Amino acid sequence: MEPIVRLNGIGKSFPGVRALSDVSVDFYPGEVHVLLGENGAGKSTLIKIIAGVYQADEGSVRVNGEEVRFKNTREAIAHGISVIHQELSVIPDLSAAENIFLGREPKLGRTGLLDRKRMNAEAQEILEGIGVKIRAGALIRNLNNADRQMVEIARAVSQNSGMVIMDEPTSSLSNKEVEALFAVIARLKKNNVAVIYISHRLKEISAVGDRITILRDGALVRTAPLSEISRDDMITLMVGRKMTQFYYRAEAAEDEVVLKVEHLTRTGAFEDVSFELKKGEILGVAGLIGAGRTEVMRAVFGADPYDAGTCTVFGRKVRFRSPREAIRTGIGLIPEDRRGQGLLLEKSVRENTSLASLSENSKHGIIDEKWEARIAKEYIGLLHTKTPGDGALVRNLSGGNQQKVVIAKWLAARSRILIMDEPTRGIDVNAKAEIYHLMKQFVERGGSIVMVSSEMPEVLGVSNRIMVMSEGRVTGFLDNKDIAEKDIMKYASQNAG
Amino acid sequence: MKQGNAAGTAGRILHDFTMPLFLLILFIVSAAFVPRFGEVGNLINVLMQITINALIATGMTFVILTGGIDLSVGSVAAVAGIVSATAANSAQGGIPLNVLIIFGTAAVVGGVCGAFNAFTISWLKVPPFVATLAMMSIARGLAYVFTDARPVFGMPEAYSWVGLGYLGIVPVMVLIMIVILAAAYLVLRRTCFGRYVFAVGSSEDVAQLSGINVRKIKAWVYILCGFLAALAGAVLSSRLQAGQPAAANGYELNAIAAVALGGTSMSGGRGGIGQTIIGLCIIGIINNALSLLGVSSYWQTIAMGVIILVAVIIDQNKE
Repeated sequence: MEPIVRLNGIGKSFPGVRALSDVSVDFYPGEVHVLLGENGAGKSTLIKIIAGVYQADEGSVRVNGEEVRFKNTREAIAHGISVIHQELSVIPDLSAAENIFLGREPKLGRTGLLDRKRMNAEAQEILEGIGVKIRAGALIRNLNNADRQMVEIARAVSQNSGMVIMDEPTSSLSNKEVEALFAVIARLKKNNVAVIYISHRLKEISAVGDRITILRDGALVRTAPLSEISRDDMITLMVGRKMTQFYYRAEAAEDEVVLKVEHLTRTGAFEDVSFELKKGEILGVAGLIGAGRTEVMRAVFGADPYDAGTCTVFGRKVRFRSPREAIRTGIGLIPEDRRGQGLLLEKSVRENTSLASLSENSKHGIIDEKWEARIAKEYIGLLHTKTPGDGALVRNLSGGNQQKVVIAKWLAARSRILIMDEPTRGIDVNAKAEIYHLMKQFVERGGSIVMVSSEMPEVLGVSNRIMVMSEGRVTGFLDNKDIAEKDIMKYASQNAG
Repeated sequence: MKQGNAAGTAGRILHDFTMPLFLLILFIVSAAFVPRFGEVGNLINVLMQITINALIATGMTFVILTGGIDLSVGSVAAVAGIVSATAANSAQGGIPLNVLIIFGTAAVVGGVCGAFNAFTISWLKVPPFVATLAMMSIARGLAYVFTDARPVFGMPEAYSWVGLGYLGIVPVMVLIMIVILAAAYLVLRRTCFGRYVFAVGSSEDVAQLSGINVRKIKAWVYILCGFLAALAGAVLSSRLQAGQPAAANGYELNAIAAVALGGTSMSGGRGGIGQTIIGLCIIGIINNALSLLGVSSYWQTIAMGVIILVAVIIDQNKE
């Protein structure tokens, strides 16, 4: 079979970094080809070269046998190559049909007026063709993330794409939505589309992929059919060494209750949520996306209001009106959206580290610069943050190191309770292990953690106890001794009614 | 690889120093080709000419760093000029009293107008552009209502000391500007408040979740901007020896131009007083040089627009 895209000896350098060297891969129609590698391994650079964002310094790209050198993404799209980005790029205030045909709208004869009827009909056909139940006239604003992604896939299909590149397509999807996505991918395969699939989730990869290419430090380690590579092999090949222990679980919690939430309710978001967090404990909060977990945590932290219920922190009844009050009591929140809510991307590691404890360590409102530099350097050392220095912009760090800076912020603020919302989302395997290790250290020193996570192996591997939520309610508590994923799934999909 | 690094370093240097370099070249060219430009007296002149804009632009820098904008500064300045001139008229005092009147008026008029902006923006959630556009209209209207559209004259001789007087060879006005700029620089760089201004402009969500009182920071920024605009207006009335309801018309645009020209990001979070000073100097030198060359003020306005465009285009496309 002829490959749709053939890469031969691709090399690419950026100032000071060799991003790719001598990578040769073939992508075949009707096949899901998984790209696996740690952050910085060169996956994004490779797909950007295929998609026309970057140009290769060395080597050649052939599409359907013809050598090409795309100057921009438009040329790549014209050759049938579409990318579904991690950050969705549909316009919220246009309908699904308008997004699908954006820039190529069908016209009424030569008048230049839109042929709305035809556009909607054709869009509907395309959506149904990939097995999606979305109305073509629906506003994107009213669709959830999963449906928005489907609209993007529909757009790619409508462009007669021979190749669809998906960059971490499941990072914001619930399990059920992931299944729907896989069904769509199966349709694409049947239509002889080549799919490049990038993900860190090994289980997913085994489920959806046909062939896998593993990259490490910009070089190709191995390309093989997925059936020939085990999950352990994937990790070994990706990191270059065997990972003996992936998770760390804290031993036992003490009896002291540090955070007690009773009957917390906000109409329309969550209802009658009660839980206790003990000193030295990691409480996992499992559930599907949209179960109300993030909303509960933000309410406890004082970022959002609640209608009824009480919170007791370190034995004192509290009702935080702002995060500031929660922080003063010793609580820190590590938000789900690290780049949007956790970090000032355009500011330095130093400024981000000190942000939550600046005024407490200042006299008369004047910043103690010596203190600031000292704690920034101290936490870079303690957390092994990989950064050129404390003055480096956070934007330029990898996901795992960015997360370490967020953690450093709360350690500097002397938080004793950390609320971590999806703490390892979008972080590579090695960095994940480091984050788990830091969590373990934190609770061993008397801290406590509430960890919201949608990754089942993580919840099972790290938590002492697990609380499961569904549709805004707590549906179960599990002592993490000998439970399995399916037990959690049972509670997570339970209709709270 | 080595070549790549060198190019990267060169790029970074160019990146950080485009506008200072532009200013330096502008200065050298002006000194070489414009008669009398380089004389000490003329250079002090340039400083005097940028003083009013500098005071307003300093407040504007704080506002823009939080991601906001204040269109009401020109109108607020006019009201302050009238109030200050009227107060000086009835007091008929000496230099110390008149200085007190000018700064007192700035605090009261600027404080009130700024607090009103702060209230509508921070508490009623009106977008800054709209809120300050409304204040621009209200304050300008008040200036006409107070005066019946007639300028206020008849202040004592001592009232002009701030606007026209000298300490040694340095005009009092320029001294005030230097003190204000230095203070603003230190506040932005060395205090928690300054740091929070940058944080709010970078991301309100992050600032909020890190325990910063975003509402309070935004409120103070508009109050500060109001105060500095009012101070500029009062100083202007001292310099012109008149409180005019039409004074400082369009000054908000000059201030925004200085801030943007210096390279402060209009969406907030990046920039500073240093950048604003560069912007102020570029505008001041161009105006002064064109005047010395006998170019009419109408043409100067056109030239200013073109130069702002060119400078910002260069700044945006440096790579």
